[in-house]
Amino acid sequence: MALHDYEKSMNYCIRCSHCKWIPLNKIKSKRFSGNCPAVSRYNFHSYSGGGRVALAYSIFLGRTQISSEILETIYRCQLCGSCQVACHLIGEICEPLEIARELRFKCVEDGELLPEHMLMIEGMRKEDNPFGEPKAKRGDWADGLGLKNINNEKADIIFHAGCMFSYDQDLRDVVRGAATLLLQAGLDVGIAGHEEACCGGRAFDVGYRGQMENYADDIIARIKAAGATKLVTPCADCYSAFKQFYPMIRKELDIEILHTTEYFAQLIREGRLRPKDRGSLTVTYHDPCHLGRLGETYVPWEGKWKKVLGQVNIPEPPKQIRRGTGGVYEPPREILRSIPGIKLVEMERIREYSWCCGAGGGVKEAYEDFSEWTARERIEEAKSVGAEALVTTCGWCERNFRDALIDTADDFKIFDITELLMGD
Amino acid sequence: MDKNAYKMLESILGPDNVSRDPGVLDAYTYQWMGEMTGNDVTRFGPFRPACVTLPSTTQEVQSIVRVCNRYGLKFKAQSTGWGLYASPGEERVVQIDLRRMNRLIEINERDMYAVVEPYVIWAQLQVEAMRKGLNCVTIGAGSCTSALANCTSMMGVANNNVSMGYNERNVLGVEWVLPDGEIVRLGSLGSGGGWISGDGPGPSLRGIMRGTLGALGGLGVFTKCAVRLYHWGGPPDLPSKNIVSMDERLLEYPENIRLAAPYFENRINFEEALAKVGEAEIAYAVGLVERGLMTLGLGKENLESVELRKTLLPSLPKHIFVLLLIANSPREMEYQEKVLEQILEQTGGKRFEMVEEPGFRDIITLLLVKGGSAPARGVFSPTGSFSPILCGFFGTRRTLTKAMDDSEEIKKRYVKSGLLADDMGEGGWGPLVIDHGHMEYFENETLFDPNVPESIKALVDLTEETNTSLAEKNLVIPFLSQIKAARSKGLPVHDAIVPYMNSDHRIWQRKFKQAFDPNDAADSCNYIDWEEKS
Repeated sequence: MALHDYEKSMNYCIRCSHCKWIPLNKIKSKRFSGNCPAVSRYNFHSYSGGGRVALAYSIFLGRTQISSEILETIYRCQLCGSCQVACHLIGEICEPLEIARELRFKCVEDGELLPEHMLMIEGMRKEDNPFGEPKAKRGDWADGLGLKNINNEKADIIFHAGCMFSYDQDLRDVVRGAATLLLQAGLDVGIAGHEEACCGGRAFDVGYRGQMENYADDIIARIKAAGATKLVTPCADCYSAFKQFYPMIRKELDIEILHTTEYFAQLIREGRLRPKDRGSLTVTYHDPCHLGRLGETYVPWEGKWKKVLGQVNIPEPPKQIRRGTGGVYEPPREILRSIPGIKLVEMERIREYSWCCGAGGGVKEAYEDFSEWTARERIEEAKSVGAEALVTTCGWCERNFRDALIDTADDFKIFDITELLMGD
Repeated sequence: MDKNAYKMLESILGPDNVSRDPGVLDAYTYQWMGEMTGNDVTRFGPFRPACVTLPSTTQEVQSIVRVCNRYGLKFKAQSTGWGLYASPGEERVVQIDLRRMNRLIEINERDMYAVVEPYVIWAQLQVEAMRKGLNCVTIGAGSCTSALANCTSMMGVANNNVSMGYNERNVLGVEWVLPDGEIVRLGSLGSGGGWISGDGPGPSLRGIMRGTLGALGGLGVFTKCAVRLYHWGGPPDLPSKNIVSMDERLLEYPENIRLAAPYFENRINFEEALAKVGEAEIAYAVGLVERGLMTLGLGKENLESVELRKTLLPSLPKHIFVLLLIANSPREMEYQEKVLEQILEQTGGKRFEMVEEPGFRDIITLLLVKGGSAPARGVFSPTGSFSPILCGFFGTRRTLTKAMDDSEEIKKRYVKSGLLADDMGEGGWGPLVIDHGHMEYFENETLFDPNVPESIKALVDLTEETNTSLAEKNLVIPFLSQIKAARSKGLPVHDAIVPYMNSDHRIWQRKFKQAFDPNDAADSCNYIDWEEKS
C-alpha cells in the first residue's frame, strides 16, 4: 500500500473532530473526555486524526513538503488508533490510522528519518531487538523453568516472549510467571530462546515496512517447524503485530494466536488455573491499545466502492470497518474478578476508547517527554476512580508507566495482570 | 506574511503556539464543504491561512487581533472549527484556533448557568451539568461542537429546543474581543454584576452580536460566555454499553423517562399535533427523522443501511415524529401521558410501537438527550457529505408543512437524476418545535458525494431552486443553505439573499460592521462585506 491507495479515503474526512474525543455518549467528565494524546498535547489540528489525513493529502497532492515541523508532527503520535475508532462511528471510507502510518512509510522512503528510530532499526538488524541487546541473551529469562526448546523439540504451544519481556529485568517476574502458569496448567510449552526474534511491529509503526516482512517470514518458518497449534504471547505489541500487521502485509500465521490473558481466562474457567489470594487491593485495568482496539484481527480487502441508491457508497466485496470492537477486553477483566481480594474499578476511558499509555508508535524512543506525559495522564485517571494500583498486560505499557513515575515521589503501583494472578 | 507580524505573534504566544508551515496550514484549509468552495474536487478550500495561532487567554486573543490591525492582516477565529464557516475567506488571514481556551470556568447551580471558554464542547458541559441536576441544549450538529460558538456566533438547533429554547436566548454574559481589539463585556457582566444576564444591567447587544443566525466570525472573537442551564429530571448519567450508535443500549432505562413515536395520516395533522405538544409544554424533546434519511443512515455500515431500506421502509409511516417525556414524579408522568393521548385523539395520531420498544427506544433516547455520534453518522456515512436544504428555516404555524412539501417535491426530481443519495425526497430532520411552539423548524438533509463534481453541483442547484420556490411563496429563506450556495459561486452571501427579502438588511448590517470593525480586520466571508462590492 502507499498514499496513492488512500486517495479516495483522504478526501472523506469530514473534519468533524470526533477523532479528538472518546465516543461522545461515553464521556463521563470533561477532564477525561479526550482520546488523542497528540492533539491533547500539541493542539494544532494537524496533530489529530483528521488533521493527519489532511496533511497526508496535502503531501500527496504536492501542496506541501515534509519539513522538520511536519516530520515532528508525523512522529509525535503513538498510532494508538483511538482516532480511527471514533472516526468509524461516523463514517467508513476515511482511515486516519492507516493514513497516519502510511505517512511514515513515505518518510522512510524519502529518507526523512529520526535518529532515534535509526538507532532502533540498527539494533534490530544487528541483534533482532529494538534495544540492540545481545541476541545470545534473549532466552535467559527462561533459565531453570524447564520449557522446551522449539528449535529442536516439538511443542503444542509456542510461547513468544517478545523483546520487552526478554530483556527488561524489571519485568522478568512477569514473563517467568506467565510461562510458569502455563506449565502449572499442564500444558506442553516451548520457546525459541535466543533464536526468537522481534515481531517487527515497532519497525512497521515507524515506517520500516520491509524490516517487519523479514521477521514475519522468520516466525512463519519457525511455527511450521515446531508443529505447534497455538502461539501464546504475554506481549500485547507482538499480539497486535501477528493479528493486525501480518495480515496487512499478507503474511498470515497459520496458527491460533492467543494473548496470555485470553489463555489464562480460559484456564481459570476450566478450573486448570486457580488464582491465589494476594490480599485486599483496589485496582483499575488499563486496556493496552495493542491488545484492545489494535488487537482486532485485520481482514485484508481488495475491492472497489460501488454506488447504490444514487450516491451511497458501499464496498464490494464487503469490507471490515475497524472500530476495535473485536479486541481483547473481557478476558483480563474476567481474570481480575476471579482473583480473591482484588476489587476492580473502571476508569472513564476503557475498552475500544482507552487512553494510550504513550509508549507506542516510536514515541517512547524519539519523544520520551511526550510518552511519559501521556502515561501520567493515564495514572491521574486511574487515581481519580480510587484505584490503589493500575494493572495492565503489556510490557511496553508497564515500562512506560513505571518510567513516568520514576522522577516523582508518587508510590502509585503498576502491575502486570500475571503478577496478581501469581499471588505473593 | 509580514516577518515582523509573525515575530510578534511568536512573542505573544511562544513559538510552539504559532505556525506557518504549509502542512500545518493545510490541515486548516481542508474542510467539510471545501469541496464546494475550493478550486478542485478536494476538501481544500481556496484560501490557506497566513498562519495559525493558538492563544490560551483573552489577552492573547486581544494581542493577536491588534497585531492584525496594525499589519493589515485579517483574522478568523474557530472553536471546534467544523465546516466552511471556520476557514478563511480570503488571503492574508490569521487563523485563531481557540483550542487552548478550553476551561469550564464555573457551573453555578443556584443561578443555573455555566461559564465556558470556546473549546468546551456540549458533551463536556452536559455531563458536568447533569451531575448537578442541570442540562443544556446539545445541538444537532453534534455534541462535539463548541457551546460558546453555538451560543454567540452560529445557528444550531436541537431536539430539546422545545423545552430549553434556542441557544440564541440561552447565552447570558459574554466577553467579546471586538475586531479592533477592544474588549466588551455584555449584559450584567458589563456592569460588574456577574454572568447571570445577557441583557443588563449593562450593554445588551444580542441582536448585533448574533441575531438569529450569528455573525459567523465577522464581528470579532468571543472568548467567554455564560450558558443558561435548565432543570434536568433524569439521572445524573445515562450509562450505556457498546460504542456503535445502532448497537448502543442503556444499562437501565430510567423510570421517569418515556419515549413516544406518534404518526399521522397527513402533514396537516402532524403539524397540528406538534403545535399542541408545544402549547401543552409536556415534551422534553421532539424530533423528526424522516424515513428516507433514517433508512440511509440506520445501519451499522452502509451495506446494512441499504438492506434496511428494502426491509424496514415498508413498515415505516411517513408522517411520524418522536418525543421524550421526562417527569419529576409518577403523577407528572401520568399527566404528560394523558395530555399526549388527548392530543393524539384530537389529531388522529397513533403510536408506532416498534420505535417505542427497547432497542430503538434506547438509541433514540440517547439521540434526543445527548446527540452522540448518530446524527453525524446518519448524514455523512452514506455518501461522505451532506448539506441541508432549508438550513435556517425558522417558520411559524403552518409554514412548516409548506416548506416540507415544497422541499420534498423539488428534491424528488434531483434524487431521480441519481446525483444525490436516494432518500425519496424525505430527508427531513429537525426539532420541529422551538420554545414550546413559538417557532417551528425543519431542514431537509441532502446527501451528496464530495468526490463527484456533478453531485456537488446538483446539491447547489437544488438549494437555489428550493430557496427561489420558498421566496415565491413568501416563506422564510433559509440563510445557512444560501450561504453555501453563494460561497460555492464566490458571491457575497447577503447579496445572494437580499433579492428574496422584503427589505435590504445589508444597509444596517454594513453600518454595524463598519462601526465595530473600523479596519475591516475580521474576516467577513460569511457575514457582510465591509463595503459594497461592485
